Formats: sequence, C-alpha cells, structure tokens
Amino acid sequence: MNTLTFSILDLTQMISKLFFEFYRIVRVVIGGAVLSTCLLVSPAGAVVTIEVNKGEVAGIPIAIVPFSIEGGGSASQPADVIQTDLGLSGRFELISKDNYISSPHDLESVQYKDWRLIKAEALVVGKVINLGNDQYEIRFRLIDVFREKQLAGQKFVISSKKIRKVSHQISDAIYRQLTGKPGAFDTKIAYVEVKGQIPNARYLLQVADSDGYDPKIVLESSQPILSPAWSPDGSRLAYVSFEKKRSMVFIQNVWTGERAGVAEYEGINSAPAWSPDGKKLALTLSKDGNPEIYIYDLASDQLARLTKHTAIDTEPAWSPDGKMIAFTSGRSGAPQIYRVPSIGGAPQRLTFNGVYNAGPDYSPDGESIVVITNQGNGYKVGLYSRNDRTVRELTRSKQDESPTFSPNGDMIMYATKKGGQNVLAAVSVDGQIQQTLQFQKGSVREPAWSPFNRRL
Amino acid sequence: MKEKLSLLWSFLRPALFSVTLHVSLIGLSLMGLWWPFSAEQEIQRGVVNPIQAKVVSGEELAQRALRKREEEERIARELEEQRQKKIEEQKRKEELEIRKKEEKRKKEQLERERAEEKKRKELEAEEKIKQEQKKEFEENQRRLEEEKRQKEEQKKQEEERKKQEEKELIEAERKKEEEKKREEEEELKRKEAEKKRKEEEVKRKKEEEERKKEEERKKKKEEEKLKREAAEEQRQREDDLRRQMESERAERQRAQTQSDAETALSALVDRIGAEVESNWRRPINSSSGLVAVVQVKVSPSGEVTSAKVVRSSGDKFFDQSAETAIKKASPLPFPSDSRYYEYINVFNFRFNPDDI
Repeated sequence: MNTLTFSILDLTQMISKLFFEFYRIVRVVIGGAVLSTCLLVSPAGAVVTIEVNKGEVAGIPIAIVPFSIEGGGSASQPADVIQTDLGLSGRFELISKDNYISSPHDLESVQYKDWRLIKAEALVVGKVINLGNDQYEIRFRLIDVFREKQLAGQKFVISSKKIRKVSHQISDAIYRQLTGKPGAFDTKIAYVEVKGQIPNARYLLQVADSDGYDPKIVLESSQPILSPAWSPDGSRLAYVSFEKKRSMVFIQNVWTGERAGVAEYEGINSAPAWSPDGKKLALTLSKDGNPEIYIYDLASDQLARLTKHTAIDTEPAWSPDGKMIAFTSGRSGAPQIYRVPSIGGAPQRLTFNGVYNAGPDYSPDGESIVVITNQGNGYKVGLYSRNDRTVRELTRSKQDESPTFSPNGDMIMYATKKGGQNVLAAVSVDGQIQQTLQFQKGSVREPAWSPFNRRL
Repeated sequence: MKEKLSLLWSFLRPALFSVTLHVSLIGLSLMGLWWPFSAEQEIQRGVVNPIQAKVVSGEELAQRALRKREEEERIARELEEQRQKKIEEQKRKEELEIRKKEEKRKKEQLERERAEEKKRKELEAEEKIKQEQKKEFEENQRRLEEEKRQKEEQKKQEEERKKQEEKELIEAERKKEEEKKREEEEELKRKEAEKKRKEEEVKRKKEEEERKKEEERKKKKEEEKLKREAAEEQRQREDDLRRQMESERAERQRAQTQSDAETALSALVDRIGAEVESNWRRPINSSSGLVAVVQVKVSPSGEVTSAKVVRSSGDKFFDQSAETAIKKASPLPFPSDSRYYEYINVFNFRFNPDDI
C-alpha cells in the first residue's frame, strides 16, 4: 500500500519530504469500541490510512430548486413533479426548500458552497420559458455539488399540456444518472375506480401518469371491471368486464378505444396476462368444470389448456423470457404460487411460507415474483426471491392486493385500504419506502403498471 | 525283519512248550482228584493187589487213597520240577546257542561290510585314477586344438593385417590427395575471409569511431547533466538543510510533548474518520464486499484539496459515495497547531463496509 501511495504522490513533493519528514503509520479502526492506534516512526515515510467501516445506507441527498417561470403564463412547476417522483422512488433524500440559501436557475449562478453547506450531493436547477403560442422551453441541469460539475442537462420545447410528461422525463434522466438504472416515472398506470355505492356504483377503467395525475377513462360500466393488463407495447389493455352480467375478457386499444372480446365462455373468464411477445394471453377459464389456466393465441384464435386439477388454478403471470407461467393454485389446500412451463408440463410449487400466497407478478429481471402473502399478520405485499426461495413481507399494511412491478423493477404498486378507503400505494423492492398515492378521490383498486414508455 | 522274527520265535518256542506242559499236568491231576471212578478203580486194583491183606474200613481206605494221591502228586510235582529244570537248562542252552550264532552272524556281517568298504574304496580310487587320466588326456587334446586354432588365427590375422596395410596404403594416398585439395580450397577461402575481414575491420573501425564520438558527446552531456544535477542537489541539500534545521527545531519542540502528541494525533485521526463516516451515504442496493480507497490531500487548515479514488470498488456509485463523503466532511477537523499537519497531510481512507 505504501509503495502504491508513493507512486501516486507528486514526485517533487516526495523528494523534498523523503528525508526530512517522518510520517507515521496510523491505522485506526473507527466505530469499534477499541481504537487501535499504533504510531511508528517510518523513515521511508508512509501515508495514514483511515478505515471507514460504517456508513448509512440512505437515499441521495438532493436539492431541487423550483424552476423559474419566465415570459408569463401559468405553466405548472416541473420541480414539484420531479420532487414527487424522486421522493416516491425511495432512492433520494429530498432536502426541504426552506434550507436553500440561494435559488439558482442555471449553472453559472450556482454557488457550490451554498449547497455543500446543506450537504446536498445533487442539485437540480432549471427554467420554463413561455415562448408564446402555447410553446414552452424547459431547461434543466443536474449538478454534482461536491465535484462541482454538471452531470446532465437538457432542453425541451413543448406545449403546456406536455410539461408534466417532460418533468417525468427529467426525473427519469436524474434517476438514471444517479442510480445507474432507468427511471420509470414517464410511465402509466391503469386502475379501476368505483364511484358511488353498490348497487348504484359506476366502474371506471382509468389510465393515469405513474404519479396518478391526468387520469383518462378507458371504459365506464355499471358492472364491475377487473384485472387490467397492459400489452407489452403499452398500446392495449386486456381486462375482465361484467357488463353483460357475467365475466368476459376484452382487449381494448387505449388510444382508439377499439375493443374486442376474447373470452366469452361458460362460467368464469378472468385474469388475462400478456405473453412478453404480445402474441398470447394466459387466461383463467372454468368452461371445462373448475377454473384452469389456458393459453389463448391471438393470431390463430386457438386455445390450449395448461393446467388440469380439481383445485382452482388462476392468476397466471408470464416470466419475462416467456418460458414460465406462475399462477395461484389451491391444490395444496390453501392458495400457493406454482409455476408451469408455458408450453405445458408439470406444475412446480414455489411458495411454502405463509398460509396464503397469491396474485403473482414477475419482476422485469425474472429473479423475483411479487405476491400477496399472509404469514399470520394479514395480507401483505411479499417478494418471493428465486435465490432464497422464500417470501419476504414488504409492507406493514394488512389488506393489500393486486401487486404490480414498475417496469424498471425498483418499485411495486398495489391496492390497499387506508381509513376504510381503497387506495393505491407503492413500495420500493427493498421495502424501505412505502407511500400512498394521494391523487384519487374515489375508491381505487386493481392497479397495473405500464411497460416503459413507447408511445404513451 | 526276518531275522528279528526268528529271534522272537527262538524265545517263544520253549515258553510255549512249558506252558502246554503245565496245562496238561494240571488237567491230569484234576481228573484224578474229581473222578470217582478212578478212585474206585484204584480200590478195585487195591483189592486185587495181594500185598494189602488187611481189611480196612471205608474211611481208612479213603484216607489212604488221599495220601496215596498226595504222594503221587508230590512225585509228579518233583518229576515236573525236574523236567522244568531240564527244560530251562535246555532253553538256556538254546539261548546261548542263539546268542553265539547271533554274535557269529554279526561278526560275519561286520567282516563282510569291512570287505565291501575296502572293495568300494579300491574301486573309487581306481575310478579316480581313471578320471584323472581321462581329464589329462582331454586337457592335452584341448591344448593341442587350441594351439592349432591359435596358429590358424595368427595366420588369418597376418593375412588380414596384410590386406589392411594394403588398404591403408591406398586410403592414405587418397587422403593425401584430398588433403591437398582441401588445403587448396581452404587457402582460397582463407584469402576470401581475410579480404572480407579486412573490409569489415575498416567498417568496424569507422563505426567504432562514430560510436566513440557519440559516446563522448553523451558523456559530455551526461557530465553536464550530472553537474546540473549536482548543482540541483546542492541547492536541494541546502534547501533541505534549512528545512531540516527548521524541522529539527520543530522536532525538538515536538519531542518535549511526545506522548501528548501521540495521543492527540490518534485522537485527531479518530475525529477525522468519524467525520468522514458521518458524511458517508452508502448507495442503496450496492452489492456486498465492496472496498474503495480514496487518497486525500489537505491544506494545513484541513481543507480537502484533492480526493481521488486510488482503488476502485468496481462500482461507480460506491466509489463516488466514498469520494463525496470526504468532500462533504471537508474541512477535516484539524487543530490550528501546524505540527499535526506535518504528520498527516496526505492520507488514505479505506471504505470497507462491514455490516453487509
């Protein structure tokens, strides 16, 4: 280590110091009860090495300065959107605006010491310039405070209604720059909102931004709507509708509204799940007796039965490589997760802990499966890991349902109850950050997180 | 075996005879005692016998008969004893005879064996002589043959040698010719080589001269450089000396409070480490086993003037978090006493999380 240090030292400094300055080797283990310090006079000179063994695992401290709005008009504030996005991800520690010493909007006006003082590692500055004719220019810069350099910067020219979308894109850029993973903020969620009381309730299939803003009704019905599922290209939704007083599976184009029924068999038609290539749907049908998993080929209109058991088999989910289908089965006496090759084969049980494991959804890397688990403490979001083959509880709530992975795999959205109300919530995959989405007023359930933005 | 049997028989024969005799005698006497008719016959005979004129009573008669029988038994016993003696005598004589015969036989046997031994030895001696004679003869024969063979061999060798000499003579002549030819060729080669060598010599000398020139030039340059360096060194030394003096002064000062300084120094290092640690935010989801070393330079006031990763953990975000921690901790808590700065103004932080 000493030799290594030498080679790095400035040579002239080395020569001048070599004979006349005696360094001491000081080895200190910090954090331990015993401070072992040995001081030795080393004629060759040595560099003190200080061990740092503990450090808080925490989000990146980030300051997001409200963007300046120039040129008049009432543009929405991108900093608020970014703040919410990054806060929700659990990977950042948002520094309150109250602590900001200055409010720069471009790189030149950044006083680094102002941000060092409040220990902000990252700083986001930017501006919105009204260009007239509903055209806005948005600029942002992501700055590394302690290295005093810009990490990312971009300029957009857009209409006012795209400001939120661009703000999500800025969040994605910041997220990718600081965590190394793509952000999933510029994505959509589909969910079912229930308005009014049964029997006069209205059911709305909605599509909103990932933070819940800007909901758009895809389908409205006096009968229940269930299990929305995004096609891999993000253009279509498959869902279950009871509009004809019995369950039927439809596929609907989110933008054109064009739709078609794909399963109208006797009995139950439910739980559609798209294959990763978008060519097939896994379904739960009870047309042959009790609920079983079937694979429906969209192009050929062919149906193939995948499971055969006297117990209920339902809630199919495709592995990202399309080779496996995880599903819920009651064949052990209680609901547990099983998997079966999507081309058919013998089902294999995956979950063993808890009295209830259901509603599987594969993580994008295929390494884990999110489920609703009951291990004696209520129904919680649980993560089944392929490595340790156990289900780990992620949430503290007790009435969770319908978990869905974010397309980058860092977050899970789910439905739960809060104050007697059906709400949507999100949890980071490590379970550290749990937040309720506060946007909706009605009762919301059945969330489905869209794939990465393509043409949303 | 047969001899042994006959010897046994010679002992058994008299014994058998005597046993037979005893048995028959006892049998006879018993017949006389128990057979009533014989007594009566005796009596009848006694009646007839005129010598006994007296009339005797039955009892007396019986008594007499008993006595008479006893008398007869006694006589018979005596007779028997005499015969027994005779028989034993006879037996002894026979045994003696047998023993004599046996001795004679043994003696004869011994003599025979001696004679045979003698004869055998004579035969052996004769045989040995014969063998030796034969051997001698064969030896002679072999010697003769050997001589003959040697003579032939010599003759053959002689011929061979003669042939060889002839061959060698021819060979020598051939070689001589070849030698001559080779010498001529070599001479030619030598001359060529010499020519070439001379040419090369010229070339070499030329090169040598050039090299020498170059070396001289280099040497000159080197000397200049050395001079320059010596001057530099001198300047450095003076500089260093000055600094040394300063340093020594500081050292003397420091030595006064050696132990205090050491304690203070370790406390300082502790403080610096704690400061960096409190500013270290480890990235979420970083894998375990990551270690990064960051080298830091500080100003006397503890301001971090440079922090660079000298050993990367392989994880960009982990490395950055370590570097950032140090920068966040700047200025490091240095006391105003500049002596501390002499000891630690460049140092390493080793980020090695131990709880994952």
